[in-house]
Formats: sequence, C-alpha cells, structure tokens
Amino acid sequence: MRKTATLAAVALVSALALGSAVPAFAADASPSPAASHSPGTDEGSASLRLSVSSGTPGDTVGITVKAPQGSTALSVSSKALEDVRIGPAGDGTWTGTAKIARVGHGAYGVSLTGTGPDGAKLQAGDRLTVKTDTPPPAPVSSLKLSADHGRPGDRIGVTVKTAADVKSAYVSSDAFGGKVDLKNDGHGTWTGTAVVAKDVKTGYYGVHAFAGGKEFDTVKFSTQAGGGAARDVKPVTPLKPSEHKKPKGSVNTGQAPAGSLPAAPADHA
Amino acid sequence: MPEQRPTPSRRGGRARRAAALAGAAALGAVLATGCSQAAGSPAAGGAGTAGAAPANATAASALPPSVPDRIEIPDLKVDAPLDTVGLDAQGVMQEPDFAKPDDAAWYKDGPTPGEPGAAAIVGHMDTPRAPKAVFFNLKTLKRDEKIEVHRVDGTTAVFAVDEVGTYKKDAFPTDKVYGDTHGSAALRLITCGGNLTADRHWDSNVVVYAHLTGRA
Repeated sequence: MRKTATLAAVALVSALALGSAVPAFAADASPSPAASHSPGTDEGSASLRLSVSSGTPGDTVGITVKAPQGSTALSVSSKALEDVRIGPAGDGTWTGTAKIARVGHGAYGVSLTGTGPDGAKLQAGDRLTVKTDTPPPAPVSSLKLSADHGRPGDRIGVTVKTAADVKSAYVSSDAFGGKVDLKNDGHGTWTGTAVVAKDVKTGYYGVHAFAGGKEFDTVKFSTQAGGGAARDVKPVTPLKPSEHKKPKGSVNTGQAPAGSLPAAPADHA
Repeated sequence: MPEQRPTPSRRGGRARRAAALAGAAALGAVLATGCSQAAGSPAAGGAGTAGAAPANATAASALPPSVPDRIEIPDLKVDAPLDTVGLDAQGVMQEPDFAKPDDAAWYKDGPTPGEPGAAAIVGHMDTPRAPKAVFFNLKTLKRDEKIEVHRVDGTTAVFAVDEVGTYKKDAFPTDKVYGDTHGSAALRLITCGGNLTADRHWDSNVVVYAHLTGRA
C-alpha cells in the first residue's frame, strides 16, 4: 500500500507525459550553489508540507517540498498516499499532487527522504488524517465458556478477551445465579469459574458478557435441573376450546451434543 | 442414554390393544401402505397379525377431550410417555424437558389429541446428553403412516400422516401449524431439524401434519 515517489523519476514521467522538457530533475544531480551541508542527517534544511491536514480517500492533496538545490533521491512516501506526482518549481522547491489512498480511518505519517548535494541525508515529515465513513473498528471482545450446558453445581470455565486497556469484565446469567467476576491477566484475558445454580430449571439461559461496563455478547447456556424434576405436577385437565391459546412461532426442541457432528436420521422405509 | 428405550411395562397391554385394531375399513386403507418395521413392531407382532389393521378400531372424525399420556409411532419404534408443555412469558411454546430426552410433551394449552383442532406434541431431536432423542427420526415419517396417541380415558386416537414440513424457525408458519382446522381433529408433531447453528442448536423445526382416522 505504501506509495513512494522518487522525484527524479516522477519528473521524467511527467516530462514524457507532457511532451515538454522538465529540466529540474536533470538538475537534481548537479550541485546546488546553495547547498552546503555536512554529511549526516540534515532535517533542518528540508521540509514537507501538505495542502490539507485531512481528507477522504480519493481526495487530491497538494505537496510542497523544500530542499537544497542539487538534492537527489528525494522521495515522498506514505501509506495514505498514492499516485504521487511532483515536479520542480525552482529555488529549491518542488510541488505536486497525490491522491489519498483507500486506507482505514486514522492519522498517517507522510515522509520526505533524500540526499542533499553534499551527501547529507534529508528528512522531513507531515501528518495526514484520513477520514472514512466507517469508524475505526472497535476492539473485538470475545466470550468463551468451557461448556454450553450443565447441571446444578457444575463448574463452567469462563474466558473473556478484551482490548488490553479495558478495566473490567464479567459475565452474568440466571443460570449461574447472577454475576460472575473475572480476573485479568493484564493483557486483556479475563478468566473465572461459574457454578450452575442449584435452583436452575431445565431450559435455556442467556449468559451476558460485559467489558468496560458494556454488554458485548450473549450466548446460550442450556441446563438440566437436578433429578429431572417435573415441571408440571398439577393434574392436567383439557381446556375449553375458547381457552385454547395459539403459540407464537417455533419451539426449541434440540441441541446437538458437544463435539459431535449431527447424524442424519436414516430413512426407515 | 440408551439409544433404544426400554419398553414400559404398560406398553404390552396397549400394544396388544393397538395390534387388535385391525379391520376398520378406513384405517385399513391407511395401514395398507405397510411399513417394513410395522411387521416387526410389538404392536403388530403381538397379535400375530403383522401388517394388518387394528381389529376393533372404529372410524372417527373427532373424539371428546381427554388428556394424552403416551404416543406410539410404530414405524419409528417410538413409544414414549407424554409430559406437558405450555407457553412461556413471551407466548412461545416451552421446550420439552431436557432432562427427559426420551419423553415427548403435549401442548396443554391447545386441544387434546382427537378433539377438533390442531393438537400439538413436541419432542427433542437431540439434547447435549442424548444424541438421539425421542423425535430424532421424525422427519422420515411418510404419508399415511400411523401415529397413536393414548389418552387417560382409555381411548387411543389414531392418526395418519398427511405431510412433513421443515421450516426455518424465523419463518415458522404459525397459522398453518396451529391454526383453524375447520372442525377436524388434527395432530402436529414438532421437533427440530435443518442445520446446526454456531451454538449447536437447530435452525429449523420439523412438523408432521396428521389427521384423525379412528379410535380404539
């Protein structure tokens, strides 16, 4: 993704494209009368300036480079720029344009490198903020349980992974009798043990995971009440037709055992 | 969990009674489809009339209300006690008891099997501890195959399968399954099916539609 333009090469391309002579980069190799630098890095004698400090992908950005005349191998590069085109404007100034590349939302460095007429390395930089419609992705948090079903008293391992800077994480579920606190390893991994509540009923429960005070995920946890307790011990009598109720939608009637692929029912005929 | 359930002691009497249902003309036509397993099922073999229709069955279009307590599906070798389910707080049918994967459950807020309306019986296809629960093979039922629902008044409502449908749970045809049957006695057997979701549940329900053909 990184786009680099060596100014001499850009000038040559530009000259060919325009059908006109562009002497500046031929001159780049010649000593500049103004250049007088000692070997080494010379940041003070070169500068890079962008016409804007922010933009969206596809926008055109103006570039202005100032460096000692006779400087060579000048190069403007940035992950956020593409199609960089620069030509000499005289008096130690080079100007041109680039397009903002299709990169994610954020701030990017733009750097100028080159070699001064005396052999000193030239460096300069600027910043460009790329704005996109999509906000930067939020740190992904995850929840993992050591089992997705259990009976009263079963111990269930809980692992939550968050960004390293998250200050708190826990899970909460009626299946576990409420909140289960987790311990952080300091690198965004939170662990703990949940115990299936003694009074849990057979069925499904949601396990809600929180990080930084906000819920980020919910997973299902199925339970089997101890001893297969009957859920309905009252004598059942038929209802009058006028008392019949129509259920809403589907019904949960299955959950495959952990670690096994479902077997297709065999045709009996 | 054993993959084949032990035969309950009470089954023998009911089975013999079911086997003796041969002969009713209307039912005979239904059972003439002759499923291979019917001959070997206790229901048929007990009376030495393999493949024959029950002898003392009478055609019926509707029965008085009576709570069901057992379901038999000879072609699937299902013979299961019936618990009950109702509605949860959201008006959705409760799931059958996970602790009883070999039981089915009658929906007690609807018609009883045999009385006019769509009676519903649900059962698990599998559970975390039972790879093959009571209705594991439900979707393999075929048209005209028999379903017997035993009731506490001593009668057995006999149904014949009309069709089997599989529906995504988010597109469940509530009205077709539970809706008005225009006075006929219908039965719906419901379990899970389709594809496994990421949390190992099933994304669909399998529904067997059946109509009452007689009583015994």
